[in-house]
Amino acid sequence: MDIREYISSGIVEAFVLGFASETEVAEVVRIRMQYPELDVAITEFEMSIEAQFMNNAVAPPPNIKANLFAALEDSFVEPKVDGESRKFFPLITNETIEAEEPKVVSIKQPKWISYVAAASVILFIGNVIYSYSLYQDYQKLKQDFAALQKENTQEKLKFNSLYADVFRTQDTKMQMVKLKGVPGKDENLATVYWDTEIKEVYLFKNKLPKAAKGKQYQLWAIVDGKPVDAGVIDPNCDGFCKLKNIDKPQAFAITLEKEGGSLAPTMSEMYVMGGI
Amino acid sequence: MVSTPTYSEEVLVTMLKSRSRGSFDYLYTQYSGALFSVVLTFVPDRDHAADLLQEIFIKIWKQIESYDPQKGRLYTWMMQISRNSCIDVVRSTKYQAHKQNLDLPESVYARGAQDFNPNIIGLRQQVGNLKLEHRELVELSYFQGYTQQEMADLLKIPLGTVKTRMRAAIIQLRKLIT
Repeated sequence: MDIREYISSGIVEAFVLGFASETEVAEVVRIRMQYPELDVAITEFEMSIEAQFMNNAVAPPPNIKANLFAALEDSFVEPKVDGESRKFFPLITNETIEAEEPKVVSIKQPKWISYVAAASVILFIGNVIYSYSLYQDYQKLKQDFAALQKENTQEKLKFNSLYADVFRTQDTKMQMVKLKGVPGKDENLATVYWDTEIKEVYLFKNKLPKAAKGKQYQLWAIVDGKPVDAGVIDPNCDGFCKLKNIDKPQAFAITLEKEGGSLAPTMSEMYVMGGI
Repeated sequence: MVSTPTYSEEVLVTMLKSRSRGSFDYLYTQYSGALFSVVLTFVPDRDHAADLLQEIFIKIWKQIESYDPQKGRLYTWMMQISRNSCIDVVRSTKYQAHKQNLDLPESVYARGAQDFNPNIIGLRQQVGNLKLEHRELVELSYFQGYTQQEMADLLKIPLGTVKTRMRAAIIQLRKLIT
């Protein structure tokens, strides 16, 4: 095909201005890829029409911009602290103000309008920066609040469980057994609460030294004169620790055993003991 | 001093697609005047045109994802969105009224000549310098969005004649505006 003739047929203008038919558009798109001359002609006309309208720009009423920003507020992504948006943002400020001037002059608006425009851009940018710092404060407070809320919930749970335990110990069917320090370990103290009806055993560590690494305290019940395993004591249990049910205890004692407990108590490692 | 874009279109488009507020601000500052003058060529009433410009920028913002730089410059794309919005308006309100008296090109032209804001030395004014048989086609196709077949029907001339005149009209127009 004669590309020069095609270019001068008016198709370029119809294509750029947007009144070419769908068939013509498809044709241009196809031929454009084969003939760089056509591509150049299109871009040249695009630039000339753009310059034409740019030189005859008419400033729209100022409320349009405010309306637009109000309408589109939710669709904007806030400028990020680092990355491109920040680079983009401060850079345009000065240039924008400069670029405003020729347009204003070209349509012969009073000079003060350009100052108002410049001031509004500065105000707008100031407002964005201020909003952003408020937003950061807000994020920080939100995080702090969430952390406090979580802590509060945990404390509440702890309190409730402790309250329930204390409440249970005060029941008349509960028998309290004070386990006192054996000679040589006199300062130690623990308390066993034994439910006389359902035979549950709870332990409260009033004073027991922290178990050495690899060691664990174990509660023993004396039943019919013999020690019976009543369970190892969870080192992480701070309140009333539930242990194994015991039918007819005569006494309780705590020994320090290897981690996981032993089958029989190590008598030399007994810390506290108390009879019912 | 000439208004020169500070950012390449590529950067601007990337920023717009990432929904950056700053890029929209830049886009508006840079192009609102040029697009407003496009709208004014279709809708001479300033308040009406301003409302339309607002809708156009919302469309641009919502459709920016679909903009393909391979198909043309950003301004061309925005200008085409503007033109389509204007035609929708022109066809919905004015078109209804014009339907009754089908001497559309004449009446639009007569009105156009006096209503134009003297500040707008735009495309439409240039169209006024064309021969009648050419300007009625440019008016109908560019300003009112008529297809060639619709123009042939409206003006009661063969489709082939529409094509020939259209081609001559555009060549004339090009000489006037560039």
